[in-house]
Amino acid sequence: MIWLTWRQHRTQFLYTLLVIAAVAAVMLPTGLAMRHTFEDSGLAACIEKLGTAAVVPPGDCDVLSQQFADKYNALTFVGVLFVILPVFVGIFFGAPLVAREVEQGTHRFVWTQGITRRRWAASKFGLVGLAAAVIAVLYALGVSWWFGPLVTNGGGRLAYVSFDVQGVVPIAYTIFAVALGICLGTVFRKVLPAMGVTLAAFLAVRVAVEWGARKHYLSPETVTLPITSTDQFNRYGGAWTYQTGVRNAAGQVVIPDGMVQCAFGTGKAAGTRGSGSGVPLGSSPCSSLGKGAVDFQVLQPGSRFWDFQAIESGIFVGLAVLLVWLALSRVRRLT
Amino acid sequence: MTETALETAGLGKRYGRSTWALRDCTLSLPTGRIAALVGPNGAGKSTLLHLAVGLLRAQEGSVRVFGRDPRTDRAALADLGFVAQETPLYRDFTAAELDRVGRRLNRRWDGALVRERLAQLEIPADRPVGRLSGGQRAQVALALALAKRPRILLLDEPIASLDPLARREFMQTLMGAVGETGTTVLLSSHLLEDLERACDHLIVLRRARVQLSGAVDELLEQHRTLIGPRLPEGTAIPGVDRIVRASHTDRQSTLLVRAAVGAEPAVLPGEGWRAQEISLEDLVLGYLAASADPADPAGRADGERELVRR
Amino acid sequence: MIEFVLDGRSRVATYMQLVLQVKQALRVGLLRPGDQLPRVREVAQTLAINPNTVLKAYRELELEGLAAGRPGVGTFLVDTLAGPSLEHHADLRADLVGWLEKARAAGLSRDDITALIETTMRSMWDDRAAPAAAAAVREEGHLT
Repeated sequence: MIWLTWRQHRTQFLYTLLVIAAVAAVMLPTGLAMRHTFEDSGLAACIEKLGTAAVVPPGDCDVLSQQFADKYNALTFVGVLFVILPVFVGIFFGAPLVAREVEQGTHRFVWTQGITRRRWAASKFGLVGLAAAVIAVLYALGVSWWFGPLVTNGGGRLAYVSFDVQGVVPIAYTIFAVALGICLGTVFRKVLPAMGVTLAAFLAVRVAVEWGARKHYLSPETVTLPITSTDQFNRYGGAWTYQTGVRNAAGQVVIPDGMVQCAFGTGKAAGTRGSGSGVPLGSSPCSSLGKGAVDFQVLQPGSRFWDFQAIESGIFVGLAVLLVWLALSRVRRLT
Repeated sequence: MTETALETAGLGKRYGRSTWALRDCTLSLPTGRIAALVGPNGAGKSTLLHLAVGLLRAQEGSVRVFGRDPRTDRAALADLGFVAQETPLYRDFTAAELDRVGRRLNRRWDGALVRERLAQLEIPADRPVGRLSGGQRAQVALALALAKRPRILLLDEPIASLDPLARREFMQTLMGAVGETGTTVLLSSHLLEDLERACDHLIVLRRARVQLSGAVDELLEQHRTLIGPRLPEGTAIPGVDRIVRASHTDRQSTLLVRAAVGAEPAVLPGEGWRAQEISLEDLVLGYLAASADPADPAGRADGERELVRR
Repeated sequence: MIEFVLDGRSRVATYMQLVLQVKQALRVGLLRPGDQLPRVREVAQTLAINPNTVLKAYRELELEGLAAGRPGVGTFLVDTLAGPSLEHHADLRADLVGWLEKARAAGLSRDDITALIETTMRSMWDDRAAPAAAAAVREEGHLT
């Protein structure tokens, strides 16, 4: 059975390795270039100096950060492409697994040999799943490494899309995609429809989890900063900010989206720091705010990155297990 | 004491709510026979074969291959060899690779037999089977099925899409193999002439029901064509169990009749009648053209009597 | 070694065609006592017919005393049709020749004679044997 599965999929597998190698060959130079710039420009050191504290004294990596962003932000586009890579593994490895067998009628040959369908399915699913996992690990390591500097510079590892290409979730997405493909293959029993629906379903689930559920995995923390303080919120601490706003001394949210810095002693309202749609240009909110007012941020601290990774991976791996179980029982009942 | 190679009891398979692909199928095929399963397209031949090899699950009744249920019992699969319609094989595998698949997936496998047969037929074992001719591919499928050394071989329209020469060669190989091993065979076709010389057992299917089944010799012995003066409809004829098909002109009646159990087949209804033996082809055509009312009590009784006799 | 040929259009049963061909071969000396008949498997394969049909033919030859099976080896011819057995029927043959001359003198044509023989035979044996025997007689008639 191992030999049969290998022989059936060997061309596919080798092509995939080839593609990975080609992509790696292209990404390696740009990845190295980015890292060198990141280090050599001093941006890396600057960010490291700030550490992961939520509030830091004034000092600016912003200029360096902007320079780096100007140079490399176009490559974030590539991030979007990489995010959907797992679904292709699902489409090309998972969907045809059962669907092609039934569509071409070869199930009438292989299911009347001497093994049970369960054994056949378990072997096939297991071996192909393993191959997909290996590919996923290579992919995860690769993208994680490549995106490092961009992510650190651009809002941290917990941010949308950045999160998807770091850590272990890429592996979970891939396993989920393959399981989805296999299961839909048993439903549609024709390769092309199975592929199409796998693509749509994968995107739907990913979007639902990312934008609907991820925020709620853990309760966010709130960090505050008096409006008179000269410190600032740490942009490079890897935190995922849900909201930045201003509360008055009584605790009511006065500006739901924005920050202010006021220097009351001098008698004139200093400019706002940061910005936000709640603070129109040219206005001076400092006069209406009391001294006790604070800037606040609702966020997930960067240190929770691995917790979030574990939760999201758990969700997708759990779904994958469910889908595989479903596929197995469908195969046994298939006519 | 002949064993029963294939036995079904009230077997039924339904698709969806109301489409029965096979209904009320009760058969008994003794070992050592070469049975022809004939009927028009859509009659249920493939359904019956797929049920017999465990590819389908029945809604009603049961099917047993040498006493085992092919759907749930793995040992049943070891006893049977199957060649599906259009000989589905992995098209990019060579015959040698398919041999290897067989060896890995089956407990009992005679790989030498495969190589020997293909060498005899001069079929290259290292060419992808998708690039072989239809006849060669059918021979490969047959060789693979026979390599399991099955006790029963089931074939679904194996020669339907082959040219006459390939058809002849396939039947030659099959008959030679049966001569050597004594395997029971059940093969389906919508053309009877391909099977006439080879088969000694017959099953006729039409519209999901068994119209006729039994040993060819016995069936030919039980049926006669009676030709005589115009007979009013509904007239009972002594010694005749069933009028399978009747056609009338204003002066003459031609009846295909089946003799009652134990009765003399050539008993005539009276003066001016003569009895004629019937060819296998005409017998099958007679049953296929007969009004096959599923609720026909005579037809149902026939099936029951069939079961009792066995 | 005899090579069998089947007449697809003949109403004679396949096994009987094989039997008759063996008998004809014996008569003309193509086969002699001691010769081996082709193996069942080979005949079935060459003609694409049911092996049981071949077995039936060989069994028929055994019943008629013309052949005998040796387990594990094959089926061999043990007797001949030409010569001695016909000699035993020399008297019958002489009677038949006399009768035929009388029939011809009475004005019966060849077909009339055949029909007379057939109907008389039929009324002597039962209905079941008649068609096969009549066909065999017709075949024999053509072959002698």
